[in-house]
Formats: sequence, C-alpha cells, structure tokens
Amino acid sequence: MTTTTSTDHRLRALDMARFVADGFVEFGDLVPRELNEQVHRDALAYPKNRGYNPNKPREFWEYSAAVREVFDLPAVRGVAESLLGPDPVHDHSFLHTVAPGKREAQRWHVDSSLAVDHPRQFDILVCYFPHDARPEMGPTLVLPGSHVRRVSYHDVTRYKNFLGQRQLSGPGGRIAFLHESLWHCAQPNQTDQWRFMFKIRYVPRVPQRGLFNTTGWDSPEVGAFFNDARRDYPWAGDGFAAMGQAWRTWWRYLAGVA
Amino acid sequence: MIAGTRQQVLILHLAEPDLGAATVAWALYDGSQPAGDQQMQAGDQPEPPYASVVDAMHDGWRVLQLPQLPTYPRGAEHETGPLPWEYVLERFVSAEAPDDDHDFD
Repeated sequence: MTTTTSTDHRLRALDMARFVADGFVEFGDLVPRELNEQVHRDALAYPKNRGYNPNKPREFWEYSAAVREVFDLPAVRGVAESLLGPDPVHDHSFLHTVAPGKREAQRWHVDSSLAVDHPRQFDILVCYFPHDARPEMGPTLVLPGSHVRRVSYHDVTRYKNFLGQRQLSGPGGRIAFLHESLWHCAQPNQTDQWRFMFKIRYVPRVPQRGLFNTTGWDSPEVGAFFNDARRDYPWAGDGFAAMGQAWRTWWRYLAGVA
Repeated sequence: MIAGTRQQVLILHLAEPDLGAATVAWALYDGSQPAGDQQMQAGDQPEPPYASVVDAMHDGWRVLQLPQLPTYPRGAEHETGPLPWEYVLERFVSAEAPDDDHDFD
C-alpha cells in the first residue's frame, strides 16, 4: 500500500477499494524504526496483565509519549482521516498482550454489534505492532472480506478455520486499519517473548464519504480490482456474489456519487 | 450413544449446498479428548480435513444436519450473515483408545 505524496497522505482509490473488499488496509512503512523501538521499550516496561479498565480507557496512550507520536504522524493520520474524516473520536485504546508460551487462541469474534447502516457506518480499529511479529508470536488472525457479513460480537465463535484466514504478521511497525465488523482473533504465542499490539478504536464525527483521494474511483483499474477479487475470499463460496454487490453499492457511496 | 464411546462433532461449511461441494471452513469438537485438553482452535489448521461432506461420509461420518435452502425476503436480497452451507456431522470413537480413530493431524 502507498499513499499519494509527501503532503497528501490520503488513501488513493485503489487502496480504498482494497479496504472495501478486505475490510482492512495494512502498512509496514509508516512509522520510523526508532519510534517503533521506543514504543516496544515502553510496552516492555508497562505492567503486564492489567486488563482493560473501562474507567481508564486510554491507559497506555497516556503512559507512552512515543505511541502518541506514532498516531500523530502525518502518514498515519492521513490514512485514519481517509476512513473516518477529520478529528475522529478516540473512543478507547488498550495495549493487547499475548504472554510467552500462551497456547490458547482467542475465539473468532467481532468487536461490535451491527451498526444501523452497516457496512457504510463504521468505526475503525487501528492495530499497531511495534516489534517484529512473526506468525509464531501470535499476531492477530483476520478473515479478509468478513466485514460485510451481518453478524454481531460472538456469533462466530463456533467457527475455527477458514480457507483464506490470514495473520497480520510482519516486521516491526506494522499498522492495520480494520473495519469494526471484521472477524478476528489473537493467536497462540509459541515464542519466549511478549507479543504486543496497541489498538485504538476511532469513531467518526462525519458521514464517511468522499474522504479519501477519489481520483480514479471509476477507473478501469478499480473496476478490474473488484472483478478479480473473488480469488481472495475462498471461504465465501457462492456467497461471493452478494458480497460483490455490497462492495459496489458501498463503493459508490464512499466515493460520494450515490 | 454406544457404551464405551464418545461423540465427535465435525462442522463443515461448503462453497455451495451440494454435499459434494468444496469445504471452505471447518471445526471439530471432540468428545473423546480428555476434559481440559485443547480442542481445535481458531486458526490452527490451514487445510480442511475433508474436501467435502461426501468425502467425510466415505470416512464414516454421519450427517446430522443439512442447512435449509434460502428464501429471499424483498428488500434483503443481498444481505449476508453467517456462512449458509453448514453441515454438521458426527461419529463415535472408542473412549478407551480415542487416538485410534483420529486422522486430523
């Protein structure tokens, strides 16, 4: 994924189309290495197993100046604002951990109930891995394309494995922006190191349309992307046709033309 | 329930309602495993144990549930939710030697 220029960090049409189809966009090059390393040091020094306290919804955010700096980077803000509009609400955030040697996977789930205007109306979950997150460390597993299915919270816990499931693994500094309805779960950690993932839930203040760089929204390139995307969602089977319909309707809304 | 046996429940999701269609998602709940042992977990198998429901039937699994075919209320023609082509299968294995009949690894 790439953003447009050094001054315009909004998502380009093809990247936004990828978000519509996959339910997330991820980047490996938005955050300088030194900043990732400082956030990792902060995470290691931060008390473990605190649990989420809804009365203190930004504890690690307030603890780590480095993580605040990450989310103030123009490149990071540009992606967030492409999806959410200006100045989105930081609803809550949390430093998610998977302890060394933890054998249990989290169950598949969604972080929300259904929005009234699902999937057009959505919060964004930003998942930031400050350190190298190899698959065996248990980075988050996601099901690309699942965000357009109408399910709520723990409806999907009975499922275990899907063709097309994918881990958000990669070098340190990986940052992914997830639609709130994307199915996901943490994975076991087979290493002797802590796995950290800092997650913010952002809530938009404006209708989510026309926020990205819409140049080329109806280009042959974007059209071909949607036409060719079927291969990426083998788990959907013949339900792909309905998903494709959802994408196209939503896409015109996002681009501000319908 | 046959004395001395334990139930295994296998859930296969297919690409289409045809029982010979390709498996696209799967889950196993194994009553023969000792209590507290780890069951199948989210994300722990990259490939399905059977290519289809028919394939599992050939290996001795009994089909417990077939999904209903869809109807489409007007105004909701394009709605999608959980995976629709969900087949539930079972078989019984020995409680004394549960590993004798396992072939999931």
